[in-house]
Amino acid sequence: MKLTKRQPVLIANRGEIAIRIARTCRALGFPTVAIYSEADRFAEHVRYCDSAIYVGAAAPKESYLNIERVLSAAKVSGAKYVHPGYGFLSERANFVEACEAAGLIFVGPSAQNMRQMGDKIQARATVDQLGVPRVPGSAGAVKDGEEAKKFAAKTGYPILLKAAAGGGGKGMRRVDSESDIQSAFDGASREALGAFGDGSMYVEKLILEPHHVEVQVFGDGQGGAIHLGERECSIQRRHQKVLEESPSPILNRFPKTREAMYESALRISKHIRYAGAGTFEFIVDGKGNYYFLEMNTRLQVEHPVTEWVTGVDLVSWQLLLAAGEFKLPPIPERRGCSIEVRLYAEDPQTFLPAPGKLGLIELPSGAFVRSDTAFIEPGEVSLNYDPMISKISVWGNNRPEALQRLRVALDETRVEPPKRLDKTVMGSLKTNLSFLKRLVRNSVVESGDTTTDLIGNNSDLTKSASSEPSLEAALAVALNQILSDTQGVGESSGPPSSNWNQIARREGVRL
Amino acid sequence: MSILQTRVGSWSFKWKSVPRGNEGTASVEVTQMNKASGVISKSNTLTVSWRRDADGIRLILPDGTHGFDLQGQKDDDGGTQFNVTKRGSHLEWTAVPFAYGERETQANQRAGVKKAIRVRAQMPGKILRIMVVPGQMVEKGQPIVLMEAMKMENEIRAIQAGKVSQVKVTEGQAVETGADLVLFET
Repeated sequence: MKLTKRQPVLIANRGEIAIRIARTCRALGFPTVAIYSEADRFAEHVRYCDSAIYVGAAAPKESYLNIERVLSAAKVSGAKYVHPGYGFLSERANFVEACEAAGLIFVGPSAQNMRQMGDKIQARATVDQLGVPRVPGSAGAVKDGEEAKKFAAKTGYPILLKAAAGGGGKGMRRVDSESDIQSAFDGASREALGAFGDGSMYVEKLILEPHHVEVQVFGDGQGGAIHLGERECSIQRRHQKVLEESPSPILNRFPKTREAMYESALRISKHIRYAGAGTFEFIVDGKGNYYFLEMNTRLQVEHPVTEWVTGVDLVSWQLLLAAGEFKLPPIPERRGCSIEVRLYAEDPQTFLPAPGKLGLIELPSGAFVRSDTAFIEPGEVSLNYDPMISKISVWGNNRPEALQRLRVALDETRVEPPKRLDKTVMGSLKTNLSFLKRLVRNSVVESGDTTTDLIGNNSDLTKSASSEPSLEAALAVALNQILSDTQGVGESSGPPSSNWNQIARREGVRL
Repeated sequence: MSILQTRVGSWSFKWKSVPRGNEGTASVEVTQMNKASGVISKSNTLTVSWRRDADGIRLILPDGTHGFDLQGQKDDDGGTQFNVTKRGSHLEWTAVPFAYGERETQANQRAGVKKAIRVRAQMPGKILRIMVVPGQMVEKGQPIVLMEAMKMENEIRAIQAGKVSQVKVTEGQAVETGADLVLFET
């Protein structure tokens, strides 16, 4: 294939997504420019790109979030396009405008698209105008229990009372019947006043058995748009997704809901003349009702799941649209099932970040297995940024096949902190690998009927493993300890798995 | 004849000879105690070969090869606990306790306070080889440490029989006169 000579793309991001974007740039013949912070001098995305420009200190606001420095890097490098990835500057309308003012092409939606859908009030107005359902709620604060009752009379129980200034569950009450409303209102309002200095309350319909389902769209910016199926991301911890899949198991039970959601997403996309990849997030209840939550005007972390089932490289569409070479194709057929999990440097019980140095990393491969990572060699999960180590995704002809393939892939995966000679741990790195292995064997996950409270309701997912080993494991522990004790610290303990391990060992000995 | 004993969880291992090196083979007698009933299983002798690597160890047993990643952590009592993952599987164990010596029985708990003995360096020198491990029973006159001093190799031997409680030096280490080498109890 003869490649068209193309202008360079500056990738205004880091980590796995920067590498993922750079790969497609290469395949299409776009030269790539990386940016990097102080903490990322040796990061893999810097090595992967054709050139790299330093943009500032480790703190994101000094580097990856600093519009002025990112734009000056683009200017210095001669880049024509700026791809923002996800996170960082990807949903900042003022960044899009700054790119345009600097004569650069932003790979993504217009600033106007972002403002329309990014601002909650404006987005709600658009959604209501187009008749797309969203979670019924009071327009503003309700002044007392009586007003809350009137609301509930229209929507039905249960309802949720929420502090207007709230967060973290404070000043929040579930109300199941009219007789409870007044006392719940007074209690929640008092609590909110104490916690936030503001006792005003909103009221919302409580969605039972909530499933998080999102629709991937792609718009041409001219009023044309297609969808690329949905992803179900109900399995979340700390309100962040940890497993995503396509198609959605809940929508398999409600095919009419699926069609209605596609239609709603496209109606909005066409109305706002959306350009590029975007995602409509919905909440679906146990009866198949759906409600709009928000739109993400960017490429999502979990986009590989859509790529597996559609065969579409979403980044290639983004780049070709930016280059003016894109023509909207018909809606792609979806095949089989794809599931992705996110491997994080975090405590598998508390889900709190636990970044640190890596001593060993082995990610899975094989037929229909994909690992998106920026850790090609052991390095360090920086505490300055998101502690994701890798996305691991698989494809299967059907869900059981995909799930089984994912189990095998996770069993193959090894991530270990550096060790001293006696195998005591040097760093503080922990990963959620053991949690993920349990998750993909959980009976609810297997059934596909996963709601957003799955992890909170299944304590066996986060319990620690047994301390009573099998014979083989016990022998391994005993032998390892005897060998460490008979060996002395000065000697090497067998073939190191990488040069980095030797360095780690020297450092360990010195500590 | 000294026998090295180790305990891991409910498993107890008696080693016919002290395993050494990154690759090797050893013969081990295995017993298991049922935690609920306190009944100890009939002993069974196994031949195990191993290969250590940076993150753990591979075992070759009659039924096949098993790889393990190991992460040790010192516990509050000065012992070591391990997090163990069986490579290529979802099997894992956390806080697996390791200890040297026999399983505590009522008889040796009654034995009361044991007498501690220190073996010290008589002159400055370098430790060439350590011939015992903690938990090992030694006979009177058995070589404990090989030390180089005054350009000569000196074998340091046990002055009486006992159980090694601690090894205070490592191979290759330089020591001064009077430094503790090995502690043991009678």
